[in-house]
Amino acid sequence: MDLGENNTLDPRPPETPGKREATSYRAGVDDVSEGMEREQTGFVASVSRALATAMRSATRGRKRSTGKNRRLLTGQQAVHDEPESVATAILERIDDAFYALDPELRFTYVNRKAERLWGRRREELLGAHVWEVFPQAVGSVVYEEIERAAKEGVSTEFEALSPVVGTWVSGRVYSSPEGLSVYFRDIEKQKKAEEAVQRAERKYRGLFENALEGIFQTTLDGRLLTANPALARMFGYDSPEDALANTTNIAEYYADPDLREELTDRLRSEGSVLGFEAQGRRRDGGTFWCSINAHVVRDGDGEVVGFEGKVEDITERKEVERALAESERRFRTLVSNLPGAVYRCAPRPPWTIEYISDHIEEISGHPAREFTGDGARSYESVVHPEDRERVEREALRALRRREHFSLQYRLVHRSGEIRRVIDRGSGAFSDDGEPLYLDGVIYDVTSLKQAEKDRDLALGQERAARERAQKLQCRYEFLAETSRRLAGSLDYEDTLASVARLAVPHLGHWCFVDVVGEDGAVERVAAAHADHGPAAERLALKVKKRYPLDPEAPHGTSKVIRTGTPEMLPDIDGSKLADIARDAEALEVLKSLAPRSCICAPLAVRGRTLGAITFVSREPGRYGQEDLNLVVNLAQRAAQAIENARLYREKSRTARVLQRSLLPPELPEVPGIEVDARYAPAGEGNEVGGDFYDLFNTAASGWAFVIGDVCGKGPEAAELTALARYTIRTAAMQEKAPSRILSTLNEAILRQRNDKRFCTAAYGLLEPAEKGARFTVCCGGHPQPLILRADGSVEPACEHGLVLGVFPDPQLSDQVFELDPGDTLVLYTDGVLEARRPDGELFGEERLSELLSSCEGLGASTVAEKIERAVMDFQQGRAHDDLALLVLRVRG
Amino acid sequence: VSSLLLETSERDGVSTVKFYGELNMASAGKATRELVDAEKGKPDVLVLDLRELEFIDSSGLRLVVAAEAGARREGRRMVIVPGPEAVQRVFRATLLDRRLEFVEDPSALTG
Repeated sequence: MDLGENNTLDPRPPETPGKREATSYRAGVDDVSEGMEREQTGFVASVSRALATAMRSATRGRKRSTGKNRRLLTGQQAVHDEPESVATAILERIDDAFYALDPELRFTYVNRKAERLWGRRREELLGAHVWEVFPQAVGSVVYEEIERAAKEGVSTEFEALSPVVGTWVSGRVYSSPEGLSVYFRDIEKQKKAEEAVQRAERKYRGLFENALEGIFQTTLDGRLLTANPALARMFGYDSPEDALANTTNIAEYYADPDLREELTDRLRSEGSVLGFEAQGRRRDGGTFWCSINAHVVRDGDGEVVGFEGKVEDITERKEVERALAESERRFRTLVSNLPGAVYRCAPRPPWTIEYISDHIEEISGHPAREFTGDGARSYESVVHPEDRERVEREALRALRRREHFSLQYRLVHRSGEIRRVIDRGSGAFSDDGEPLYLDGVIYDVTSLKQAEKDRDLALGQERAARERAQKLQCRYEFLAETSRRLAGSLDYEDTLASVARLAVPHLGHWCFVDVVGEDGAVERVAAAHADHGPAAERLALKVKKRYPLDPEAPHGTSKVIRTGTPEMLPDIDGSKLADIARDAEALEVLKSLAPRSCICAPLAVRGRTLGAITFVSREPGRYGQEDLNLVVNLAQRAAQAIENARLYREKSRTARVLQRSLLPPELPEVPGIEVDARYAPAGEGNEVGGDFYDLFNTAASGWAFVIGDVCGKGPEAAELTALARYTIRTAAMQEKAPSRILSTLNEAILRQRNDKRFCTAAYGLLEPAEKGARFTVCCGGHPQPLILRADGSVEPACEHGLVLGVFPDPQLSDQVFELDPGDTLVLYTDGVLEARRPDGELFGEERLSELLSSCEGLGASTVAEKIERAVMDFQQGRAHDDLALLVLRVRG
Repeated sequence: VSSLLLETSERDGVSTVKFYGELNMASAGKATRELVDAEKGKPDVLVLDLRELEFIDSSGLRLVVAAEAGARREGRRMVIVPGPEAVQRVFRATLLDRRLEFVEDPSALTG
């Protein structure tokens, strides 16, 4: 027995920490029959290797003391039976304190360790009575145990707070006719370690058992060693036990078993793999999409002995991605099918064009590609020279005021012909209010005017519009579902800030979230700290600013964003901070953070890095592999939220541009009539709404007005809205009777669609009469327009009619009435009647009638304003449906 | 969270789907799936019981209209047990009250 190197009596050879790990790992793998050992080792290994090391040393600590006691029993015999020199040689070297008492409890022997722990020399003790030497111990647990051993002749054990040593000790008392032998050791450190391990175990067991991700551990050849409840559930097993018992090889969990090989090959060469996507196969054969983060497990010699990792069910995410791709495609199709050129350009002269749709060729004679790229044709060059200055001035003014603009000007076609266009658009702004770009649509109104004059051409246009519309087939439900999911993470800045707040102090003293803005600069969108007080607040403010991405940075956020690779600095040398800081000011801030270790993970989604999340601790060596994995996972989720929110915002912008294109750019002047309209889309404006209105001159017979509503929202609803508007305009040139016009629309919808997506509309014709104006109105399933007489009385303008686009034989009737000066006709959509108070109460017809009675004598825009405000107030800002209003008042 | 609850029952070739709560854009998808299920057994009559429905919007109407068209195509009878005033108002305003079959007492169908 070699006692020279190691003063424990453990029979095992001395081990390096690495070797120990390997041995225990194998113990976890092979030694599955050993009750508690198996449970602990199995559990520990599956959650965290770092934790496992701590656990094992604790377990071995316990085993070692048992082993030692056995050895010490021999030692004890040695004291009494064997030559004293050998016994004392051993006893002087052991790590435990030891002393022997004669039957009268006088000291016969005290080893060196006991001397040290007590701070007493053996010369003072030998021959003295134990309780005379240590009167303070009388009555303590140790006292009781020694007295019992002496009186009853039994061996006992204790673990107690020693009044002599002042710390927790554990010991054994052996009784023999010659007296007592007592061994004890200071277990304060061990106790603390155990408590820490238990705390960590509770924490990690919770994570393991309750994790949403499946956690697994396998051998090299694919035997499943550990599984948590989430993994079992994911793959269709009742419990982890069920999964372990019924899985022959983990390759069964892959829809394509070759992918398991691809993953393990990559693991062998790269050590760890993040976000490996594969289709999983459930026990019942069903498949689902999952993402795997895994790493290899090595033994002390660096030999790979297994794999462990996490599996996340990403079916929903895949679905969202698919739906988003789909909706993006639909929007592009819709954009290219609109009778206008959609464009995006720089928000300042020379208005460099970033994108313009192919329709610009129809309008200007120049293909779209001529306007973009190097040496591009400037858009200004095709604007009529006399209009250039005005267009530029008005566009700049709208940008400054952040308003939508609607400009009419002349374009010079390539052929030299002059075209009249309407250009409607608005700016997109950064959070700082900087204009980023300008979005808009250019309509050729020259051809529209021609169309109005030329019936055949108009019919041709209608056909073209229908054909274009037919190309669009999109599932609205998908979009609704997508936006519902996205709605959860719209305000990603807030979400990230709360994530950061939740993460400290759990994962460090500081947490920063940096996001790359649209202009490429990095913005710190969240900074959370574990400290309280104004100094920390000031510091948090100081670190929250924008800065350019440093392409040279050797470490830190800039590097992580640049490379997309997570970074862990386990032990930061304070003097090297200057290497990380990008300038003197940053160094100052960095110094006050006093970082000693940090983790920084990229906010990566679909191969792009949107930013980084950083955790900083003032403790050196605070972070391990498990923390890194956690932060990487957190970063992935945050990135997804940012991506979703951005796509949503992007979509909202497009939707707003399209929405405006479906409404008349401006209301025409109608002689003798005061007109106003309101349009308020519900929610974030992510989807094109289904409400529309129009007002136009039918030349011969007078003025036509229409208000309508299409089922649902989104591109498909927009397609039907476009169809309705164009059909009505065309039909109005051939027919006079409103019922005939709505009948034509009914047929048009039935011809082109079979999805029962219907439309409701109220159409009217306005002709001058002797005193005021004569109206002919027809209602197709639409809420009845209301007449507000100059005396304050309110009455419906027409009878109910059948919804349009469902039945081939519509029941529609025309109602003729005259309005005198001061009388007002109000047309509106469902958004008014179905506006809801938070308690569920509907706005309803009665409330609207009462409101109108109170509008007696008011102008058209005041009436519109009052209705809109009443509805908005009623639903307290939570609009469920779009709202459109058209108010016509005979001038007094 | 969907504000619509559905309850399907079948008796003597009559499949009844009872609606509780709100049939709107958000819940129409769920209701469509339920109706598809209710028609799997190829019942002679499909009953939409709207007595406990509190609200219906145009997306909800579209679902009813589509269900009726589907039933007609397959030679099945579809009837509606009328809902409260807030729901019936919508059928009246669109004149669908004249195009769809409403039955006050659904027990007469199975009796």
